[in-house]
Amino acid sequence: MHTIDWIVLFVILFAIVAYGIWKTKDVKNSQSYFVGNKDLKWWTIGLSVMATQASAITFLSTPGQAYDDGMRFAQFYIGLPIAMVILCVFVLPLYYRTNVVTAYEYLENRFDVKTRTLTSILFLIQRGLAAGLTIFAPSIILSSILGWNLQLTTIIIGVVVIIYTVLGGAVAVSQTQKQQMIVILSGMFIAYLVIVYKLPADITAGESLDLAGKMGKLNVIDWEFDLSNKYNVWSGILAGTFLFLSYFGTDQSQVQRYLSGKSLTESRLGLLFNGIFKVPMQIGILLVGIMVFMFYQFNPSPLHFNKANVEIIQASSYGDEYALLEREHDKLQEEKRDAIYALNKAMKSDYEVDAAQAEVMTHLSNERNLRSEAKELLTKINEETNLKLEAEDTDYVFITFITKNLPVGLVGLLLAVILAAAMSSTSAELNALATCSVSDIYRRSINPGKDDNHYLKTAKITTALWGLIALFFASFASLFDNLIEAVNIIGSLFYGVILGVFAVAFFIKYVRGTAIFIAAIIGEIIILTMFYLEHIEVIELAYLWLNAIGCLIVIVLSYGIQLLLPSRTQD
Amino acid sequence: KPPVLGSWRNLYLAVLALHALVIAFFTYFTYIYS
Repeated sequence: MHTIDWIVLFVILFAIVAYGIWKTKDVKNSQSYFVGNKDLKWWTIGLSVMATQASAITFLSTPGQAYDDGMRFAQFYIGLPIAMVILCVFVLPLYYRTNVVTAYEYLENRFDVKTRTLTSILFLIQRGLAAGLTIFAPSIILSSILGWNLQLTTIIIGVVVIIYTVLGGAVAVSQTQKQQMIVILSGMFIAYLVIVYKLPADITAGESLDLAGKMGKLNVIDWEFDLSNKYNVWSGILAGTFLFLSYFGTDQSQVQRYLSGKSLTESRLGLLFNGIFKVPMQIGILLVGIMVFMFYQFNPSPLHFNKANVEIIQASSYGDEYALLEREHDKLQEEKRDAIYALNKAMKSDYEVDAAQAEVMTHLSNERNLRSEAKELLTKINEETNLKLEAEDTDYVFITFITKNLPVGLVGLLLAVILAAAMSSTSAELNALATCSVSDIYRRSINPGKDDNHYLKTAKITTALWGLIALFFASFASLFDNLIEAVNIIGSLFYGVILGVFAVAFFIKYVRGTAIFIAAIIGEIIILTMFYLEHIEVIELAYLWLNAIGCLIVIVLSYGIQLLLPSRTQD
Repeated sequence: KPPVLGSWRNLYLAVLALHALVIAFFTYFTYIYS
């Protein structure tokens, strides 16, 4: 990395953190530490909600996904605006009317204190584990490509976040998230312009889009109903809406962002802002990935994007085999480039386009096969040694492009984008973990009735403790095969039951505290048992289904138990 | 009342309509670039 890049990276991150620390003067009591001073306008809430959801992995993985698989991943977010409207209509008014600090506090009003404590603990386990991965994911990718020390990178990201989140609580989180989103959005926009500028002079931006379309990369929307296809309009609307309802409606790291709003109106507008801009933002990030793909059609691309893996292969007994694959890949790339120029010419003259397109697609499929062969070498090495090398390299595409092909100065800016995204998500998570620990458990059940200053101090210590726990989990994260999946699996183990409890709270007035409490415990045991049975391969079940199963078990069981309980006055 | 469109119902419908337009635009986008 060039000195200028280091300076750009350091100045941006230092300015954001310093601003966050300076804003801590606005923290007056434990209430403002948990939900700010209730003075946020809608656009700050909207940016804050978006910054919490978008972590470093969003900006590292998504362009790589477009490179590999086109733009169909955008459909994952189609249900999000629908979820935002449902939350604005049904959920926000309840949270505001009962003036709660955490989502689980509402459950005490609706059920009882044991249900509040149980759901809060489920959230703490799930989010505490996930926070470790939020920090670890960018560290492993950056350390692999930039040669940074993995442990040191993780610790530096963690400690910086812990410092400003401990000092400033929710106030520092929302203020820094605003700056972080500005850096993120402008950084990605500049990256897009630079990539388009770096395409060959004889190919216009419009032509490169046409070519990407002919190469099957611009498949944004797919209306075909197919249960086995992860991303189409129907899976986005049906499954996606449920996922986003539980994430934005019951996950404290999100709920806390919009409870900091000045009024119900501002919070609603903030969520609607998120609903309108989230899909275009994701499409924009995917489009950056498409342009990286086009750039690599005209410039040499590596056979495998994870540099650390390549070095291991080259040093192994498969080094010669890999070198042979690389030579074949180089030759293929030249032929493919000629075929793409021929396709462009055919499209301009509208003559024999189909034949030229078929030629390009053949080259693309050959390249895919070569890349698979390189991945198979990694699998062989894994089998022969105790290494657990990740064969998938799509997470490494964008960072490879950034470090190899962006001009000096922009490398620092884009690294700042990735680290700002990691920090914005982590700070919101730590702040939410501390809020639940102190508000739902410590102040409610363990040590009630102290003065406010005592709880403010406890909240700061708890934030630091959760930060250290997250770093502790991060040091074990390398045991997971796939990080994005690990985050989703951890979520699926607990989200379903939490969503079930909230669904009963909102829509089934008949069920009371004891019934829901028993149903939630039985439901969680069933979910963990199913996951274990799947793990030892007794049953076969995709983990995403655990969300729906957990939710349904809690709804049905709680209703059944309520029927069996002697009478409603017993709670 | 929200600051625009007079009622929350109108604003929610406007957000969903805008979202439908985005989906329609990208359906067209997918079609012309395939």
